[in-house]
Amino acid sequence: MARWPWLTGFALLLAALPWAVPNAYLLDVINRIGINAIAVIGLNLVMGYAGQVSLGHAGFFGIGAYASAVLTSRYGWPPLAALAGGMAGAGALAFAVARPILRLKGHYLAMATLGLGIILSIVITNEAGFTGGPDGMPVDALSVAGFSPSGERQWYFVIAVCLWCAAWLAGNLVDSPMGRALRALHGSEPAARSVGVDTARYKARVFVIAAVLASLSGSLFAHYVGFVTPQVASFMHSIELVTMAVVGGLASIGGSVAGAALLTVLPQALAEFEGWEMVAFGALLILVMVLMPRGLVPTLARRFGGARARA
Amino acid sequence: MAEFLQFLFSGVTSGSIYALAALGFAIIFNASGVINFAQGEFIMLGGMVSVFLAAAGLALPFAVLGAVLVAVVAGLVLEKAAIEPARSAETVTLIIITIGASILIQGVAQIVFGKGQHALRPFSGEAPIVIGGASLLPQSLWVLGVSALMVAGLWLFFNRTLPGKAMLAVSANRLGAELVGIDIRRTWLTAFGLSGALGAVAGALAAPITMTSYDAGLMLGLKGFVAATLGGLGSGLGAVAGGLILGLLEAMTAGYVSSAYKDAVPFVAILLVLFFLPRGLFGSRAAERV
Amino acid sequence: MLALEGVGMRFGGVQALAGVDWRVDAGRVHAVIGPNGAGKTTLFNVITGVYRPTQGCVLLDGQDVSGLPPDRLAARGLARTFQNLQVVGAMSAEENVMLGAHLCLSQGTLASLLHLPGLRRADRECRAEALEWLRFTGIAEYAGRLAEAMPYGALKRLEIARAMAARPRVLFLDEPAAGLNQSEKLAMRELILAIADKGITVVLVEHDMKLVMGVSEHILVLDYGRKLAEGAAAEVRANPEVIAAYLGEAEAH
Repeated sequence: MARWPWLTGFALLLAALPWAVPNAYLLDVINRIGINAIAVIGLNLVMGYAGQVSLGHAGFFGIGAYASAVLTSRYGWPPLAALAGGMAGAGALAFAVARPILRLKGHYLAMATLGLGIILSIVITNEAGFTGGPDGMPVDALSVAGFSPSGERQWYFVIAVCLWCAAWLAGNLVDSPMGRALRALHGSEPAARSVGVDTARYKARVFVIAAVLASLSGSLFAHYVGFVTPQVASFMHSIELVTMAVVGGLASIGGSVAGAALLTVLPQALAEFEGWEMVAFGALLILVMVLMPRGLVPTLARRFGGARARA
Repeated sequence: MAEFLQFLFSGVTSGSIYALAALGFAIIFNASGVINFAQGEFIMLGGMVSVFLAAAGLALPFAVLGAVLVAVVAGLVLEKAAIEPARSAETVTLIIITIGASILIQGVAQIVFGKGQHALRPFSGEAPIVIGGASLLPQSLWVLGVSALMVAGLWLFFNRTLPGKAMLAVSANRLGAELVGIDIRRTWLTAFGLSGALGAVAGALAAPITMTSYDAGLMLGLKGFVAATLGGLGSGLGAVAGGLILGLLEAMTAGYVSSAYKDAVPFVAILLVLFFLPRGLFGSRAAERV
Repeated sequence: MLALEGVGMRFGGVQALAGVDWRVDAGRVHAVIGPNGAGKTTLFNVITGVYRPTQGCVLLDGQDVSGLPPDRLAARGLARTFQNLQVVGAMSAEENVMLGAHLCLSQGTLASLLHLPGLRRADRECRAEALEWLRFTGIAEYAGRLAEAMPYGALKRLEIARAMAARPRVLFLDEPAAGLNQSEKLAMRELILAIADKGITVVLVEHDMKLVMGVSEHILVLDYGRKLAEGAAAEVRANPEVIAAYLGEAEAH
């Protein structure tokens, strides 16, 4: 399909970006956007394409972040093994809970995923012996075969490669028979089932994929920032991820990146105005949702590029 | 025994607060199908505005009344400005809108009241009443009594008044209700106003027992949502039962198992319940139509 | 090939179906008729696994399949359309039909994520086949159009194309002519006969008697969830009970 022009363009943009950015502070913001975008792309597969609400996604992000923090510092795992361990753990947990949880619909599903996320964040907060409790814990540097990214610029390339791969994989998935089955069970579950789509199985698979991506994103975050707190697994962080997906545009991979960008930049830009940043943030959420319920990218694509654009 | 009684008292007290929070969820959900994530902020407003009006020299009853008014206005504005323009939107869009409202209200509260923690003066003294070796705060009696009154009042509202019956009709069959001339928009407005009032009363009642702050609404709101779901979304009695069950479970876990995991109890409970009963304890088991 | 034995379906206090025995023979066109609320769609939903019957059983090739979920029944050769359209509005007509071929395609997670060559080849073939079905149902002009932007009559055909892409043995059509105009109804009749010509067993629920009498070799009449009569079109037409209960008003005058 017409996906390669987009992916090539995205790769060029990613490659050119660090030369266009004047200072380390901005590059740091961009890195954070990239990390968030990886998790949001996964979440968008669940919410946008498969149509299943998940309000506990930060729990999986937290698993990745704390796997990288705890397994390296307390058990001496190499960072890459810890990162993979986190992804495996998050995937396994998602797989275990997927069937009973994704059987639920609408608000019951929202409740269950929310509950799962909160339980994970409470466990992380309470198991201070491993996780350092509410105060958090430092994280060792990421190192792969002797190379250890340091500074915003080196990190930028690590994150950019991961982000591009996430976008590529997600795009492949959406445009495969499995992706069709997922979109179908969002559009009409009876239709999907009538042609043989085992909906429970597909929901479970995409949930696992999203959990694994969130865990990767959490691990990158932990190593990049060098410190984690239970905040990374909190309900508010889950909400931030959902908001990025929805404001950017559900069922849009480009929207995931745009949403991550907007909602990462905004709080930073407003951080000086204590209290007002929340007011502005809340008002913006309401405004975007009322005026563009499909989200920024799909709405704008429709307006400027005709109805067929699907980035 | 005294120990058990002590946990029972604290469980029923917090359970009543959760029940009021859950009722707020249930009323709005019934009328509009919206889960209002800003419900917790109504509770927060009830506590915070009461504290500040009382500190400004207002007599307690007027301070609470003022807080209820503020929350009702917040509910009405939320419905008019954000819910009504988006009422045909998808579930997740409406969830984000109410979360946006929740963050906005928290922001305003932080600007007006600051970040500090506050406690409201108990309504009638602090000398505990000792029953069977366990002590009961007078404020707990206020919580229980007023909650019971609110539930009774709601029952009367839904069964004996026209607006209440209209609201039930809308929840049973929106199109049918519209066809017999019920004004859906007004019903929605009433639901949000009513939930605002319920939340504010719960917040004012709880403020002397638990401290309150600009961000106190989040956890209370979430637990209210749990209680409402536990009882089966939209069921009034289910919401009350769900709230009480949650309060008791929490108090007993905190007392006998681990107080660190007290906050996890509602969420573990709701996951277990939903695993086995996908529509809550008292939810309807209607067949799906194709 | 398909047999119902004493099938009953109860929703709370409503007995939607009671003691229905019926046999569907391979390669013929069958119709289920009856007044509104007679239980026709419920019968479809029971056979295709949407509901588990509360009494009796559904046998497919002699095996009890009652209560199997719709996706498992689809894998055993049952396909259907829906009375109130169930198409994926956000997908193109072509993709909707490709969805129908779901069971014929590889669905590995890794293959899907990496777009392995085998998967791409199979998907290309599937696309070509989908176009064939769009042509067969006469809506090839809409191939690239999003389903939500297609007219109603074309959507009815799109559902049939999707069901055909699943390569069914038995095709269930729930009111294929409802809402169609006269010429569209005639075209639908041709389409149903063309499907039957391919050797596919067809079962339809339909209110339009002209269409029913024109295509079906066997008719089942339901009334208040019970079997009132069954047989060849001419027999059913002449059955006094059927005339009284259903055709009654129209035929008597």
